[in-house]
Amino acid sequence: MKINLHFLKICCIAVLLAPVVSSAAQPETPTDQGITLTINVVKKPLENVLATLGQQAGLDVHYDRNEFDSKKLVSISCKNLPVEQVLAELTDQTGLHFSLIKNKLIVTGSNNASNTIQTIHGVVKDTTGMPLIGVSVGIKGTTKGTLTDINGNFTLDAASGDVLMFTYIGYTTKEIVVGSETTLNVVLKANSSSLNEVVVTALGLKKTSASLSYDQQTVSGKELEVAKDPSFVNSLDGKVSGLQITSSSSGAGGSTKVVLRGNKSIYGSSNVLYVVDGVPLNALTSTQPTGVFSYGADGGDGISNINPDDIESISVLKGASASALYGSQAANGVIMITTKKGKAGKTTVTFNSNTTFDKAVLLPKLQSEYGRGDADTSNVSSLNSYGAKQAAGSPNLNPASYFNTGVSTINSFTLSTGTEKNQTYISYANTHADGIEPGNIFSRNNITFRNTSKALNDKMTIDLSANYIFQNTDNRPISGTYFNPLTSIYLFPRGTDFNQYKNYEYIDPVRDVYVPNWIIPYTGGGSADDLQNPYWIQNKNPTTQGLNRLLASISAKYDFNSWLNLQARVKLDKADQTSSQELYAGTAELFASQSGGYNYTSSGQNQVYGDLLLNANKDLSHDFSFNGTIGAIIQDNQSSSLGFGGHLGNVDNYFNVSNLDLSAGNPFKQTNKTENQTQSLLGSFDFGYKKYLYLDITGRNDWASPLAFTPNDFFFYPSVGLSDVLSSMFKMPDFISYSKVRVSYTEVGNSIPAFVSTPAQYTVTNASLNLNLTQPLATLKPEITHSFEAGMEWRFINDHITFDATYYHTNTYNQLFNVATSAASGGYKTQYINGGNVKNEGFEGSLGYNGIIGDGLRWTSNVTFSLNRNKVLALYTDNSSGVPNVITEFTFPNTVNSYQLEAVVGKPFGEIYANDFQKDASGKIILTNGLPQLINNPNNYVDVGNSNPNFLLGWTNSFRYKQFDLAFTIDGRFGGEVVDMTQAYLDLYGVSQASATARDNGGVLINGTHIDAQAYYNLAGGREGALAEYAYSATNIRLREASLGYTIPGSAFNNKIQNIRIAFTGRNLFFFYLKAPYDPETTLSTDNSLQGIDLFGQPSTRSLGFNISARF
Amino acid sequence: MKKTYKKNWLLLACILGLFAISSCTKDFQGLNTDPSKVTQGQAAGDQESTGGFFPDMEENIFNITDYNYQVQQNLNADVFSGYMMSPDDGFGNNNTNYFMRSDWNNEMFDLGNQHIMNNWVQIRKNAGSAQHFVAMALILKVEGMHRVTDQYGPMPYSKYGSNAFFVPYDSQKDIYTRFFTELDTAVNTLTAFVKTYPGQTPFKRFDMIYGGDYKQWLKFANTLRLRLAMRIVYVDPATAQAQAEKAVADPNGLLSVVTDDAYLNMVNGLNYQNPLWNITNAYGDISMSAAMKSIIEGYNDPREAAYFLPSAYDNKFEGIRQGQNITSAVYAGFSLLNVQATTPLEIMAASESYFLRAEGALRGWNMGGGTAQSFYEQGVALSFQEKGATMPAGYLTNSTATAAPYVDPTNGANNVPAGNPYLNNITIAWNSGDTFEHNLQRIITQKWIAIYPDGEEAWCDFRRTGYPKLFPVVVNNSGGLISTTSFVKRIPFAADEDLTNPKGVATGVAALGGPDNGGTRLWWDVNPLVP
Repeated sequence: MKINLHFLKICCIAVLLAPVVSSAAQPETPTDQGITLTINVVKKPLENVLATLGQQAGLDVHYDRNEFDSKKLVSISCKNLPVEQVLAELTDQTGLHFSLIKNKLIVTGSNNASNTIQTIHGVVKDTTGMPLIGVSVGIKGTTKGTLTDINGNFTLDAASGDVLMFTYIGYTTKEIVVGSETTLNVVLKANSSSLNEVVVTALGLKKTSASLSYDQQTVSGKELEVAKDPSFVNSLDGKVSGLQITSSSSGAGGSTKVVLRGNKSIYGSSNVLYVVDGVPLNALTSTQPTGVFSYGADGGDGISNINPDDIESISVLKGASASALYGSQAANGVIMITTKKGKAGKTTVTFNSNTTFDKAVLLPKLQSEYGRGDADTSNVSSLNSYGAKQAAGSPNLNPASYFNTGVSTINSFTLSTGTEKNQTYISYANTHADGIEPGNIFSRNNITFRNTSKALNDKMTIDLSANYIFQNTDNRPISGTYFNPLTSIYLFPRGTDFNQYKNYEYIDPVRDVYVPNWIIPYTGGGSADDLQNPYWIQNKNPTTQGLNRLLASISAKYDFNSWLNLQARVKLDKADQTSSQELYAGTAELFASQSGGYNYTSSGQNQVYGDLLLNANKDLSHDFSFNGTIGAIIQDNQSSSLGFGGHLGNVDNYFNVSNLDLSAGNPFKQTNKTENQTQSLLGSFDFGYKKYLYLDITGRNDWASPLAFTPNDFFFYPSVGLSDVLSSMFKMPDFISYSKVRVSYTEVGNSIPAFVSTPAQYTVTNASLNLNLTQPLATLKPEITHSFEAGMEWRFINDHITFDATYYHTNTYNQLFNVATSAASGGYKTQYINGGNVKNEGFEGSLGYNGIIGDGLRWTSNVTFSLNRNKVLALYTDNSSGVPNVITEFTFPNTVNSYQLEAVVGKPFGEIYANDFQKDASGKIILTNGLPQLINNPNNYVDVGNSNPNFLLGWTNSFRYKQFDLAFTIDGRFGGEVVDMTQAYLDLYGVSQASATARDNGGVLINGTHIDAQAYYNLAGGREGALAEYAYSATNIRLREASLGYTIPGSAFNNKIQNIRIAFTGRNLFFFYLKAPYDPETTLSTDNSLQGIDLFGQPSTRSLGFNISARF
Repeated sequence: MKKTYKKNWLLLACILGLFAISSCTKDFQGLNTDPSKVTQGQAAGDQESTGGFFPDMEENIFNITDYNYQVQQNLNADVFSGYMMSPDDGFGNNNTNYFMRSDWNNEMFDLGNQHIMNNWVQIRKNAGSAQHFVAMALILKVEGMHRVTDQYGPMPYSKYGSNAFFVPYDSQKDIYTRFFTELDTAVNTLTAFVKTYPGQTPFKRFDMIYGGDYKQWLKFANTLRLRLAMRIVYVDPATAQAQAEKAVADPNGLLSVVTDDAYLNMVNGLNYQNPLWNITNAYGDISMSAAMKSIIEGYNDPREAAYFLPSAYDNKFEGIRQGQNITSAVYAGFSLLNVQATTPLEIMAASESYFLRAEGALRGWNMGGGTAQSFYEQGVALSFQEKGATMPAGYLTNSTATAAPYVDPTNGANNVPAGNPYLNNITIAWNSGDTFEHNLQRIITQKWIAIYPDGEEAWCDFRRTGYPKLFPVVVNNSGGLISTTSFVKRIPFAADEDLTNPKGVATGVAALGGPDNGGTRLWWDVNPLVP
């Protein structure tokens, strides 16, 4: 408490003699305000004169009585003289030095005194006594500064009278005037409970957290670094309530399906909107796998390109109220990313190197008991493993031997530098991942430049930023049976030597061209389409996906005065993507001619965003405050593509458009440039009363080009919310440090896709006209979500314990979906309709603790929980024929033979329906001729469950003790079902352990009789079998990530560098509970289709690694 | 309403001075018009908005895409006709063993409606004064849609396009009546055009079959009328005879020489791979059937090598017994189809007209001055020509050869030994002294060989006449709905219709007059001699 006393000592006189004018902030010095003084004294003590002066000018006068003689007599006579001139006069008489910093007048011994540099040592701690690491300590008005070390210590040379500023994220900034003391003990107060805490909300608008009428959860960039993933969104798992993350089984850089508070849109997207620094990010959604015969892989998404090291913090706007200002894009919530800027003060350079080793886990359990063949031994070329018992020592392929240990490295460098007026941030990151599947290489380079500067007397702030991303993916893992090495690896006949096929090709002497060496002999007509040699696929069917992306933005803000500013932003997001697949001669003839095949697509997407916002923030009176914004936005998206895909003509393995075989149909495909534009006007108004009661009203009107041809091309989206800080309104017991309740109601939209309301147009195939198979409807509206939420926040015992909870209820109406119409309805196969009502209702919250245990062990712990109940209340009723036709079920596109995902009235969204054996009323399988019979009619498939969980739980922990830190996240997903078609295939081919066990037992026991294993699995297995028999609970609990770090303080390096941290990290470490044979949190597709099914997707990985970061 | 908003918008945009590039919402209709599609305006030139729809009709009589063709007819009619059998065990229970897969049974219905009917509607709507072109399309419509009704029976026809979710079905009787009327209209219109504008082919570039030659289309229409007439001979003999005689009497004639054969030629920018080529080679999904081997080898008929390839199994021709529990690995080596990617699809063979006339003559109808025998023999000779095979000397006078017993070299249980009643016990040589039924069997058997690989038409003949005799399925997975000895009679209504047009399907079931399964006979399928 030494520092406080010292400070008091300095201030006491000023306080005594010059009562502080006002506690309200005085941002400007008296000079700026043009304050003048009138003083008439003759030979009065200096301290009296200073007191008078302070009183008149509204200045706090600071000096140290020990430094000079404050009783020295001075004379001065002035009338309406500016402050500076009075001070100059005093300097002449006393030789003292006066400096004005805002409303402080600092008096020091002499002019020379400010050059008396002394070395200040100090330690910075929080209110609980924990040292704070990395606190920025700077001398106000200069670029001099330093950071505290691991023990909270700092050393800085400063002159007496300098003002030291201590700033630290999450803490209230503190200023201390340097006096004669050279040792400082500084205590910073966490500002989390501060009623004036400012948070960034939709569109980048800043508001006090007390005024928010909805739930918004913030995650710092640091929390994402616990165990890095090349796609940072995956790191949010378990850390935010209400958030469900499912990553695509396509390796590094793949897409992620992120859903907040349940799926809302049946046909449209339920994925969140990403917003970077207030501006929506182009989603760059890639084509997703469509089923068994998918040719392509997931191509990643727009968010996966972002360099995680550039992220300062992430705010999750969970509900529609929080995201209402995004209007027709807001229905699914927003993940808002704030990126790093340069900071004034010392130049900081960081280097971060992260390396992880990935190992495939949850591989299928294969048998090594029975060999190749069938029960019927006449078939010698069978690829099944239903043969005789293996001879001793027979080779059996272990699928794990095919996978490599994946290695991903992320090396990043950042530089931050700047002065008060100009700050610059530069970063470069290189990500390189060798996937677990041979040949899969992902690489990405991110270059970021950002400059923030002030102009026009500091009234104008200009923020320039540019990101350039180039990314390349070779042989991205794919799902389905075509071009997938895993089908051949998993299904390879047991007891057969796989090594003989590692040399995957040989020269065909007649053709003089390499052809595949494989268990299915190459006969000139190609080999099997779904079981090619895996190494042939890797080397002779290579794929490459490239991305070049530039994001550039300029933002200018002009402060008219202290409460009114105007901001304009323009952002360009330009992404060019290419994908190619080369199919060498010898590839299965379904895909290529004898000479080979070549598929290539080049596409471009541009997004231009511009907005203009006028912000006002003013206290209307002592009790009433106002914060308002009005603005206009234009967003324009363009895309086009040109590609071809076909068989090669005469020249083997010459992959060029000039060598395409044009006789096999038109290989070209072009999407002409299409454009889609939204123009908006918006307003957001917050009214505050006594800083505890807030009313928040927003409205946005969107004019959207996809709505052209409909009666309304514009829609209005309002929101209203109320929040009340109870702890400020009422006197509460001391252990309650903060308490707030909030309630809000919102209507937001989900815009319709382009062209669905456009009058009929024709398509051209094989150079002949076809009617577009989808009937346009000129009465379409955007989907609209009515959302209600109520919540509360509590903090106890000096904020050591925090608790928040939210209840929400949403109904999504005007669901846009594409339903099948009768083939005889007039040429259209489908029709867009608006209808339906999907309800989501849920409860989410978090409970946190942070504090010190024992001898300085800091523990932060947070439990998040989310419960969502979803129900499809209605789909559509058609009355056009006079006889009402009620649609009660909708099947998502991209079904896989025995699997369908459906929305059915009265059931939750995303029910899995699957083929099954015919059963009697009691559920017993009906046997006909001694065999079960399949249902086979998709209309009669059985409901095996829902792909969405009932309940999510996440638990994050971090510990810090001296130089050590430890963090881990455990998360659990409870409820929901998945089906595993991979397992069905393994059984069909007799390679699974299950099939061997059945044989050992004399067959599969059905109704008390043993049915021959192969006969049974011939029916049950494969893509058309009884998939319902392969349904598993998706419940799982896992150790999601963990890290153990050690920080070497700068002192170990003679303070040449600030510190170095070394950490061991792990992701997806192990499962506490798992029933499904694959990781149910991976998905084949990140769109609405193909949820809850695995079909030879890349297995999940366990990652272990280390991270070194150094700060200079 | 809209205007006020726009004004406000404009005002604000100007005040804010931000969106110098913005031209506001008046461009929205332009932005929301898909530049990757063709507008009505673009299609108006050079007859594209009428002629442009014609190729797609032609490409869907037999769909040119392998996986569509496969379920449109290959895995049903081509198997039910006794031509082919699938060696692939990957389908589970399926149509080939009488488990009528609802997902397969959609295809013929969907293709017919979406591509034949729909294009026809577009052509009729946009044609203006080019009624001759409408007439040509009308013939193609009857050709395409009779293949649909002959799979299912009742179908939406007269009320096509009336509503998105409820389209009533017509009875097959009404549909056939309409077919004949439509052919009348088409023939009258084209006859008049040809008379007025001889030699003119205004829609030449849209027609891959006859290059827009209306004279050929008239022959096609007459032959089609003859085919349809013969179809209904047991249910309405009077109309059958009248229509058949009308077809033959028409001065435009019938398809009668090789150059009359209707093929979907790879011309005018149309390129495709014969779907059967991929189905048999790349998919490995179709092979020669046991019945085909039995009949064609029993006759020692050189057309066998034109149709099939020697097997990888033993380098001889090997066919697969229909309707068994297949094991791919066993049967994958059996005879594949002898078809090239560049082989054009055959729509209708001229030889068929001779077999139709032979049957008509056998029934005592006026078939234009020829005997049943003369038509029969001309038909056989023309078929050899069409298939590029040489008719062996003495083929037509061979009075001993009948179908050979069938031996499955991998599984004796599939054998059909000598003396089995399912062996097609008819000789080649015409015998005027034989019974009507014997001669009918003779005609239909040769017609069956001649019109290969059109399994759809061959299956119709088999249901109508019971000829040629085919082998029953070994395994019947219909659950008792289809009789093994009576063979499959139809395909159940498209399952998609149960979801999208349930009330329409109800009218279809009523018109069918029996349960909606593969065992219910169609309207014209009333021959008392057929079990």
